[in-house]
Amino acid sequence: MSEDITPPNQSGNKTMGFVILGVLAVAAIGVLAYDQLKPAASTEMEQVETVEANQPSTAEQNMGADAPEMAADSKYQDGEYTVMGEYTSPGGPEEIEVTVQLENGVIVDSEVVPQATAPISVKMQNDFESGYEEQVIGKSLDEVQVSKVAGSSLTPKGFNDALEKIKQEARA
Amino acid sequence: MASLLGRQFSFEAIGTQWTLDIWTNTEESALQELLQSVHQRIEQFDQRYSRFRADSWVSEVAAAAGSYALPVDAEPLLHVYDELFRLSDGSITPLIGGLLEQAGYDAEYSLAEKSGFAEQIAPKWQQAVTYADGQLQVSEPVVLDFGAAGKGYLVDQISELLEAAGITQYCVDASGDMRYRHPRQVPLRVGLENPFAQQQVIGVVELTEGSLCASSGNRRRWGTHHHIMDAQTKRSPEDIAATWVVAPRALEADALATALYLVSPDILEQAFSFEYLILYDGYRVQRSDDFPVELFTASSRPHETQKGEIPA
Repeated sequence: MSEDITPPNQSGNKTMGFVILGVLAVAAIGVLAYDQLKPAASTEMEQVETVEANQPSTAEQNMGADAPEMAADSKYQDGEYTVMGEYTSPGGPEEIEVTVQLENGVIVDSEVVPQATAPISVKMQNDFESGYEEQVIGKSLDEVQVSKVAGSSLTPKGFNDALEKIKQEARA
Repeated sequence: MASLLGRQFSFEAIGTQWTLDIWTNTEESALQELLQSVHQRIEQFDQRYSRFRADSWVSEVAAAAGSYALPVDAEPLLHVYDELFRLSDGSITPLIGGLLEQAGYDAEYSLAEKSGFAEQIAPKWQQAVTYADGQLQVSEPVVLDFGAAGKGYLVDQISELLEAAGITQYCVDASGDMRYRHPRQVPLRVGLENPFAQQQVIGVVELTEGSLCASSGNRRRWGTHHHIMDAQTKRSPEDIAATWVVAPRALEADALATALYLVSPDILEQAFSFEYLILYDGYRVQRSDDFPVELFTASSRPHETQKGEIPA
């Protein structure tokens, strides 16, 4: 299974921006503190602590004495980062929880936990949570070994004939 | 595609390409007999449920209000529609038939919206139509359409014919709506067709047992319509490109693959047990946790693609 969202190396910064921008897209007026995830090579631990302070339930926070080593070419320390994004929707203040897992400066996993209370915000956050994560590509059948293909059922012949006729009439 | 051992029978019926794979060793005479009963069943099903045939039971019902004897196999199909009607607040109904006809999806495939479409509303299921004790009562002439679940139900019926003939390893495939069984549950690898480019797949499902059905609005499309229409809004949903559902029976898998266009999966999960994958425009994917798929993402590496298993 290859469903990990594994962006190419060196693109951690960009990807993180994407995640945050995605969150902002959900918020009508997003004020997620982007600074909280900004790199700060010399004050890495403080930075993480700030994150934790904003998020009471970061039991999984993988930091401290046995924190994983920082990748040489990364400005980010490995581990799991959780932030609570706060924003004001037209219906009032809302929150959304975002967790990202960093390895070698690359987001290898991420999770969004909707926290909204207003119904429209609940729907938007849920839509975002289920939709943001995976984006697929098509692969040629020549590259993939399968026994069968499941797609839209073959269109009835009469339907195609009729469609063709309409196209020709439209051209005439 | 990997070749499959065993016997394979392909034929066209009710506008669809059918492929039966039968791996259980079966005598030739028994196979021929079985094939004959498969064809008879398809014909019988079409004669009952097709709204495109003037001599069908559905066309008989459409002619006038009254009481009609239900076909013996109708109740499981109607039960599924009852549930979907309830869960979708009326968006899904067999009474969509009249609307589809008015929109141009008729027996002649006129594919032109008729003047009555704007005013027409679908009659309310369970008000216009009731059934009990093998009888269907219709209070006004109604065009029933079982397009959302009918083909899956027929796949189930053919699977049952195969099983009754002692076949325990088979795949009944009606152009992407399929049911598969293997005594040791060796998975069948099924590519999920990319609705935007039909020589591609977006992932591979490993089906160990049960049914996989797909629905896509991309091919049967005309004007602003495609063959899936919300009976309340009379609109065809636009942001979903394709859906796939895995469930024990193809009846439910087929029905749910269509229902996902109109109803959120967590609502459908209140009444049905299934796994799903929804592909939205822009190649975005939403799926249930246990949908048995390997998806292709931009980071998928070629070596992760495995050879197709020959289920033997």
